[in-house]
Amino acid sequence: MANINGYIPETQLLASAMMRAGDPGGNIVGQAFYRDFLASGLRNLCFEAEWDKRYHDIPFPEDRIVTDMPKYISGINSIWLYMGPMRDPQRLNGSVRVHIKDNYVHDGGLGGFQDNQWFNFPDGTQNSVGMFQPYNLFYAGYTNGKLYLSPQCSGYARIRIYYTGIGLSDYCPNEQMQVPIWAVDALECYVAMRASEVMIGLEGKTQEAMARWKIFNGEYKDIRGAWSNAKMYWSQADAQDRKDVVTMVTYLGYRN
Amino acid sequence: MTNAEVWDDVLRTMGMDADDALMHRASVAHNWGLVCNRLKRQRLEKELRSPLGSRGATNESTIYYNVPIERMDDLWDRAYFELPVADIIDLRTNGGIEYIAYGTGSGCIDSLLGKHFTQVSPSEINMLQGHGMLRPSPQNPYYFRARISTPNGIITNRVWLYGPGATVTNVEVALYLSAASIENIDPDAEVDLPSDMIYIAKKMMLDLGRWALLVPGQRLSNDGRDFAPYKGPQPFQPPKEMSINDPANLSIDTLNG
Repeated sequence: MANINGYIPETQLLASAMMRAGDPGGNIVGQAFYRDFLASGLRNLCFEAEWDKRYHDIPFPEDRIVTDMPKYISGINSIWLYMGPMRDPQRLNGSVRVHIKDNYVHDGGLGGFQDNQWFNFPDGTQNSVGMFQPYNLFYAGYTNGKLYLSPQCSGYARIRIYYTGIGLSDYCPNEQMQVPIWAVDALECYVAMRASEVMIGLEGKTQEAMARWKIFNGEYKDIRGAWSNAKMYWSQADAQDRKDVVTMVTYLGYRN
Repeated sequence: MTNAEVWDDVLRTMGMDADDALMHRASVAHNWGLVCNRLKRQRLEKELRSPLGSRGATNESTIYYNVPIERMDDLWDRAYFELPVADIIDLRTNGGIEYIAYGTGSGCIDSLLGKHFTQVSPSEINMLQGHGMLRPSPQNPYYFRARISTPNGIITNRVWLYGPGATVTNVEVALYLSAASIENIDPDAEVDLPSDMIYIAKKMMLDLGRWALLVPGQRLSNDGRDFAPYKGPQPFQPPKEMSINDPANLSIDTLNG
């Protein structure tokens, strides 16, 4: 299911969630804390339904060490180098894919610490004749939150990292969270469940408090609960998807 | 119905409406203050902690606007305001403050106008300072109540604010006021309770008044042997201890319906 532009603002969701949790004014739990519940729900959902597709585009650093990596990600899709070689901004067609090589770290020079130092034969990222790498292979290591690009990458001017986020751009007070419409019910129930947990702590395990918590916990955990439904909404193919599959297998021979 | 009408009703029920009676309006006015405060609190606790929230007690909060914000130099310019009234009901859910909000003309940015502050404890503030999303900021304003000891004595009516920017000069607040000061109840003012709760208030008034009348007769010989068999029956027996199911204690009875 395509997630094009259907988002609701956070306050719209929180108002409903507070009502469902039995705290319509948000005074019992505290209004600010509901935002944190929503942030947790969005984050959890993004690891299960990778809808928050984003990219990060940065210039190529002189020392081949990328320090400005996106912070809040649920997974990296692909890393690309483009505009090159010779860093010619007019040559947009020269994009290449970067592969991740285990344990590869360097300090900006041509050498580096890597998984297969002096033992190159089983590794495609090294020529079997020695320590030199294939000229057309671009790889990087991912350590300490930084991306260490191999010497071959130096011919390119920009780096583009496609990744999936966690529904947040920056984890800060100004953050305005956006909730995709297919996940509204799931996140309402998630926020209400978290609020119900707090209210059980405040009021004790009263019948009302436990009943509310069970409803929302069921929506979160049950196989046919709202959370599960949201993942299904995200992953099911819509008509466009089905038509594309037909086109791919009929005329193009594959589904990429 | 005015306060004095209830007082006269109570006095008449107790047989204290003659000129030479032992109790007069002044004696019951004090009890009236106690009773009204207790009932108001019971009712608000019940409603504000229910799924209705403050919808359940719609005539209790009072809005004050343009309440000025001060800043205290000795506490790193911490912001606060002084409660515009002498006393508010210290409720569990909100400390007697229905809301604090950025008001019109307060100096905040337009997108924050009307945004409510969240109540926390000082320890929670300490932890929230390190919270990425919830740290105190103009978008996440908090409040708590605490007294402060100054060279001029202890100041009791301060509400401390965390988060509003330095340009914000005032806030709008809605407060749950306690009943009028028991020394200064206006006899001609309307009763500050829903009319169906006057029955409970009267019952509590009678309990308080009856107890006051019993004590002197019962304690004439203060030797600790009031119930000794050889002393014979006392002229008055003390009332039974109040049941937890008495309307005075049972907040469900203060729920309308």
